[in-house]
Amino acid sequence: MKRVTPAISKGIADNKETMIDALYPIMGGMISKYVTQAIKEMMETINKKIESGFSFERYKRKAKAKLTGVSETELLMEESSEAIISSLFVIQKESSLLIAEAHLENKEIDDAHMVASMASAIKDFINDWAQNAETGSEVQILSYGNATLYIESAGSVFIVAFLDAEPDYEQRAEINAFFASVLKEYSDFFHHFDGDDSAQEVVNLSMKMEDYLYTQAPSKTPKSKKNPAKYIFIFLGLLLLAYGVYLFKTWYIADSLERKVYAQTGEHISIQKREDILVLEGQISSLDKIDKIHTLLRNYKKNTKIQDNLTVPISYINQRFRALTNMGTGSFISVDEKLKLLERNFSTSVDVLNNKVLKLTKSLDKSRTELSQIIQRKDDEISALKNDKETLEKNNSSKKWRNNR
Amino acid sequence: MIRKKILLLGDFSVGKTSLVKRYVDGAFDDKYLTTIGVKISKKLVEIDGVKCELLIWDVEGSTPSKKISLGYYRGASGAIFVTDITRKETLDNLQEHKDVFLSENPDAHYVTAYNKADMLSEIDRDSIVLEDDVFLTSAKDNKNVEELFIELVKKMIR
Repeated sequence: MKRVTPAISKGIADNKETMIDALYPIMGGMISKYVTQAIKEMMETINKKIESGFSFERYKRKAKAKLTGVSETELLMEESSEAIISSLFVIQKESSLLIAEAHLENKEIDDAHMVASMASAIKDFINDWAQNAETGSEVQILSYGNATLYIESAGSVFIVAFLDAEPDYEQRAEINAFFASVLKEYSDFFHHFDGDDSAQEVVNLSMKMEDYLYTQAPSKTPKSKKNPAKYIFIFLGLLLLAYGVYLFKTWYIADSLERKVYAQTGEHISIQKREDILVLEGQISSLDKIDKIHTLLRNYKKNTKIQDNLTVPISYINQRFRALTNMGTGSFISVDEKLKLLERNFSTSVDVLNNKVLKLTKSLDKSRTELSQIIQRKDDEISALKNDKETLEKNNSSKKWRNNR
Repeated sequence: MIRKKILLLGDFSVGKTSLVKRYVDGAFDDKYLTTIGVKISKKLVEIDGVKCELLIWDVEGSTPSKKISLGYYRGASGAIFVTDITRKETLDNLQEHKDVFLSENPDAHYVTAYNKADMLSEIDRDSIVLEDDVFLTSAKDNKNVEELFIELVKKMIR
């Protein structure tokens, strides 16, 4: 290889035009291949965007296409060509020292200070050459492959924006406007910067630059490439989770109270927690246990409201009545207590019956509606049959009349 | 942390790149490759508890007839002027390098390296009288290279 290289170099030097002619068909093919590849990549990007099913951006684009009359594909192509600013540098012009830097997530630049110095050296070199050539312009764009450095200079500093494509006029104007705001705020600091990056201004400026990077148009920054639908689902999920936790807590409290009541009284009752009220249902063996159950439940939480639907068996009431009478404690008291017990059982039973009647009424209403619909359908069928019969009779009478003639 | 830009200036082939390579990478290569434009390296040093990152601009060689971009000089806090002790003309051009540098950076500090000391005999080396801030250096033998840079840093942060 070492032997061949000088021969090729000499050959190119001696016959430049011949070499160019010889290489052109190959280079042309390479360029064509490169362009094809670039178009393929762009089409893939567009296809991906089209396929990105449930996306807020997609519907926004569709609406924009309808409103503006520009096709969705054209809008997509426009989006695909938008350059993303991945990093920003502010560099002191005189010393080429990097004052502040900011990057998008995972786009950090290694050896940023050396890169800043090198960018500055290249810029100075080109600017010097341009002045020599009397063009009087300043270098603004440096490109290598997909990386583009956009440089905007002011008096004491210049800003370097690292992009993945060349920025268009609009984007340059945006960067320049941001740069102007930075200059306005930090101009004094830039003049007196001596290479010490521990100054608070450096921290503040870096944060401002980072904010700017993440507030690029929503479709541009990776951080903002998020689907709002996802957030809605997350919100609904959290809401469901919170409701689930609430239900579980309610069930858990009721269940543990039921266990506690059973453990201490031996009674199986059903407890339901409805907001701040504990609803008790079921039948207990004796009246003495009601107070015990109430005390237990009040220990759980002070001032707990209790809706007591507990009942005792009629046999227990009779037994109790007899016992009180036999003890001679006075028939008046025992009759009164019996009445109270019966009243309690009666009112609970009435509640239960009321509920049942309500349910039956509802189902009766439903059946009634269904029945009236069925009757209506049958009526319709009957009237249709009557009509058919009349038509047939008419036909038969006209046949008879024709036969008679 | 503070950062300082320093330059290595001097004629062609005096050993500027070798001095930087020795100081930054601790290596030496006697193959000569001319520097085009500028090559930037960095080195972190700590002197008297002060941390300082040097951004070392190894600038291409220049002569009175071949000037380098003034943009490279601007904003430097210090410079190392390098001469080849075996080539008299590189010593003769030293003052001009200093003048150009100081005209751009009047407050900057500098030191001078008489490089390629390894090519002198011991007698010759002993006969050389060195002024203040001048070091007889050898990137090949790693002689006085660290001292050269440290002296410049001390002057800059003093």
